[in-house]
Amino acid sequence: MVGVVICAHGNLAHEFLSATNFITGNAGSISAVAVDHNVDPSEARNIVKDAIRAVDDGSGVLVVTDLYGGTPSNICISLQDEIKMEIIAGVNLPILLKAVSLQKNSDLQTMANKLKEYGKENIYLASDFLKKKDAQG
Amino acid sequence: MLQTFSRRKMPKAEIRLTNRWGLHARLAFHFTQISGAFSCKIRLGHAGLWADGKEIMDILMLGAGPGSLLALETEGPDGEAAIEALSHFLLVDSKVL
Repeated sequence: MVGVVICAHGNLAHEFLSATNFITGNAGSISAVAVDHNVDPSEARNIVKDAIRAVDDGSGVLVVTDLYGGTPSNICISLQDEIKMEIIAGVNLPILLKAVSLQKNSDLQTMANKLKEYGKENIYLASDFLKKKDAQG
Repeated sequence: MLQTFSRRKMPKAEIRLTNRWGLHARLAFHFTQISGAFSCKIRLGHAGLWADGKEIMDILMLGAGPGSLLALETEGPDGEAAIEALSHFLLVDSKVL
């Protein structure tokens, strides 16, 4: 099974994980790691590396970060040569919910490509959608 | 959002949501966990909109609140069983989510 790790600034990763587990009833196998700016950069890198390695059963790990170019994302990118992984920068709940459904039956590359598109497709301007709904009703 | 269904007769049901929060995220996720176990096509309708019943974000886009009338349709060999399982979930099991 493809491992999934959320890696983000502050408490964001754990809060995303908490919301995902609340909605799915802990159906997935997703973990979270925070990047603490108060620790030494090499220590932060080791913490993230350990978190990613912990969920890798050989199928690889999908890492979902909060912001391309931010420290969590940069740390993960620096680990790409050491661990079989793909990184999606720009976490949202649709990505994480879909990851729970996909992680048991997809390979890493397929999952990463699908989730990148899925995350983008599921951002809405609510007023646009409600106008369409009103027009249909 | 829409699936293509053939015009031949298909199993269907109408269900009124009687839970407190309507068609919310936890309910939608668990709905897809059940629907995903069936091979038939499944669609869920509300107020003229139709969602792929195996796709959580599609279901959430229906925006069905408490008391909403939902339409459930299936197409495929295990369609009747899917209607039965999903109707039971919406009417009974979803109330504890």
